[in-house]
Amino acid sequence: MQKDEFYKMHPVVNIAYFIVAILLTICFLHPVIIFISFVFATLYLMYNKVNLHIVSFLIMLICVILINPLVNHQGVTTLFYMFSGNPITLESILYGVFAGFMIISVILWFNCYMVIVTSDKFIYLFSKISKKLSLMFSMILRFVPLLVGRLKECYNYQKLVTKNKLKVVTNAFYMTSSWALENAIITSKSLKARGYELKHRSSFNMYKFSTRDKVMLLVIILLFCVLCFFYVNEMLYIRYFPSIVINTQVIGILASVLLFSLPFLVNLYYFLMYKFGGNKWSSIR
Amino acid sequence: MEQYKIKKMSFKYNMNNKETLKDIDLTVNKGDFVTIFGKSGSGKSTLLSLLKPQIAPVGVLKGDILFEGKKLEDIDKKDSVLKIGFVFQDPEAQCVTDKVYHELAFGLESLGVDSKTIKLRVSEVSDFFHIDELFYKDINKISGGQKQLINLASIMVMKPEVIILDEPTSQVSPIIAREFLNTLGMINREFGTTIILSEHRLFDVIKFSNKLVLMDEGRIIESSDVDTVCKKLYKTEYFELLPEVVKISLTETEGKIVAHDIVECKNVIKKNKIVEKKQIKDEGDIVKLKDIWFKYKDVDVLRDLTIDIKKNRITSIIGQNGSGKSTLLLLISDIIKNYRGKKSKAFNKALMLPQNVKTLFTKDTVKLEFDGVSGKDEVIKLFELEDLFDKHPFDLSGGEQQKVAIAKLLLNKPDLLLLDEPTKAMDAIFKKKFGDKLKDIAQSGVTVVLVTHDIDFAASISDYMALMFNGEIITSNTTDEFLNGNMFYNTIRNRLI
Repeated sequence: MQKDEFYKMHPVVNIAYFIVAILLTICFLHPVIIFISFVFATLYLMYNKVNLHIVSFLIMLICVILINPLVNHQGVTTLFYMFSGNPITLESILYGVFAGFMIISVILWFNCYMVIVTSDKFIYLFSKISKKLSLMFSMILRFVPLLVGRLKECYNYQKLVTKNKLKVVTNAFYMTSSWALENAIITSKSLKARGYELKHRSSFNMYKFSTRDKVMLLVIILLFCVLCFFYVNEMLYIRYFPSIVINTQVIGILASVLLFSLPFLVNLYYFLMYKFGGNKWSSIR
Repeated sequence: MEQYKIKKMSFKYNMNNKETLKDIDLTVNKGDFVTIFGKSGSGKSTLLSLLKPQIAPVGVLKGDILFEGKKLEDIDKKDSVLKIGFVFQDPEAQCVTDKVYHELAFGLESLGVDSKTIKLRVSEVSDFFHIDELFYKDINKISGGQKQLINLASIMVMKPEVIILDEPTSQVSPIIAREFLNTLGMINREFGTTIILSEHRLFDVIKFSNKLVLMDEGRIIESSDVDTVCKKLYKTEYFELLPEVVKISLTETEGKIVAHDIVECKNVIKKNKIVEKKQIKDEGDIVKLKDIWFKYKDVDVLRDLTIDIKKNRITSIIGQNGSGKSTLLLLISDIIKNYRGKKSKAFNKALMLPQNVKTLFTKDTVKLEFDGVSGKDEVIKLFELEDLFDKHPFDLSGGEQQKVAIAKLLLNKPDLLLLDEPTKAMDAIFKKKFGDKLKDIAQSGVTVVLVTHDIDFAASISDYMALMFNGEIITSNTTDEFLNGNMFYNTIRNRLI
């Protein structure tokens, strides 16, 4: 994770990028855009060495592709009729394929989001809305794993002294809840002791909004505007029903390639800078 | 200059009839290192929490507590947050947020300090505590000792004038505890921060303390510098609470000299005494382990482990944290299975006391814990539990909880009892009594195996001892043979002779 340059950027940039990427993938439904989005999301996940769950994605894709023509009978090119008398159309099959890929691309982008926007970034963004709520969120993130761990511990030890399976479970729950209450008293004391009740709290963060963040944000907004322009003017457009109409513009495609490969480009740029950026000192190792 | 002045203070909880604290008179000067010690339940915690307005318990307070010449209740809220730091006993529960750096910053956030200043202070303190490696980690992923260090650091960030600590090391292993207390000493020496600490592990703090306070039953029994207090306690019931070197040097010189460390103690001790060897009767083995291997998540926790546990005897297993001691207990009690090696057993029922005994309590009072079980009277008498009957198990002191838990296990009539760190959070007097109880249990035909860090305790009660290192039993022998020649893993008494 340390080496990803996009990760090191300001959380606002990160979240802006993902909002734009996901929004555009959903809106366009254009085969080329979906293909680009899908490819770069996959590559970016692979670059960050995230498990892709290929099997579950395949199952999902097949489901969408199969189900859509069965329930959607619009379109003019009828291929054949089902036993119920409903037509299966070429348009609805194609729509199913692209919609399936679109859904998977979105899920992949969400996976990227999970990798890049970690809990502390989220807490930082949230603290801009409400400091107390973001603190509470941080406390929850701490408390839930603690609670689950304690429940397991109680369960394991109760198994040693009690034979009755039901009793083991109820005892474990009882103990965990009373322990949690006990724990909460100390936590609240600790909160008070460190001035939780004082007014004017601030929120600590270690993020600096540097020039490269500004540039990056600008680029994202710019590309977003360009693609919006294409979308609104139906220059990068597809209509599935009743018959397929497709408009493609090279500039639009280029803009979308640029947008979806942005995290990659950032990494590539800094990789080149690091390798060939005039580093005169060669390390001994 | 006076930091705290407590004048004729007494305190009563609203629920109780008796006063928890009586006639407390105590002066703490700026830059003092005050160590409060005494049996569990002597009112140390109550006294300490009364010194910090935010967490002072609700009750009837008579007398005065002055902080820097002003009454404690008149001090500005912000000032008392900033100037008085408090570290609690439980390392887990007092952490609030999910990340280490956020935890460090928390106090300053409450005070409304801006991010830049927080960053400076937090980095400064992390460097001082050598915790920069932990900086970005999740609180849930660091050890208890590290958590306690973070808790201290998160107080230091606020640059307090006083740090109050309520048995901060009772839940962590001795080596980390020593590190923690050394850091505390360093804070006191280098920044002149006043430290008020309650602690069982006196040996590690007498070198820093310039004031010892002994409390019992809500009163201050003695309060003076280290030497005076120790000398006064010679041949009293509190003598047991003192650290081993002090006890030895006082006994050797008949109450004249107090040694603060091993070197000083060596100088006063008379030459070689012959220690007579204990005779141990062999009644056969209850568990035989041979070349045992055990894996957890693809890591070998136990490797090539061989040990025989003798029947009806007490065996102690010592070793570092993470050497696999607790895993060994689980293996002996048949909860986990080895994938290689041979294990033969001759027990009917093995029961294990977990490290966290709270996991065994299921009822609202101690009495209910024992309701409806046959043969309870005997056990209750053995452990003197009648006084605790009306209390909630969670309200008991650490030592008392251990007692109740072991009594509960004994009612299930095991013939093999496995104890994981039973002396954690026990004061010395209680520990001694507890050791005698364990001996009684062994006499009555229950084999006891305990895993502990407390070598002095292990040596005082066990017949056999074993050293574990990296998942392997390095040596296992009778206690006398075992201690003969060990350099680090030895009792202080043996190191001197």
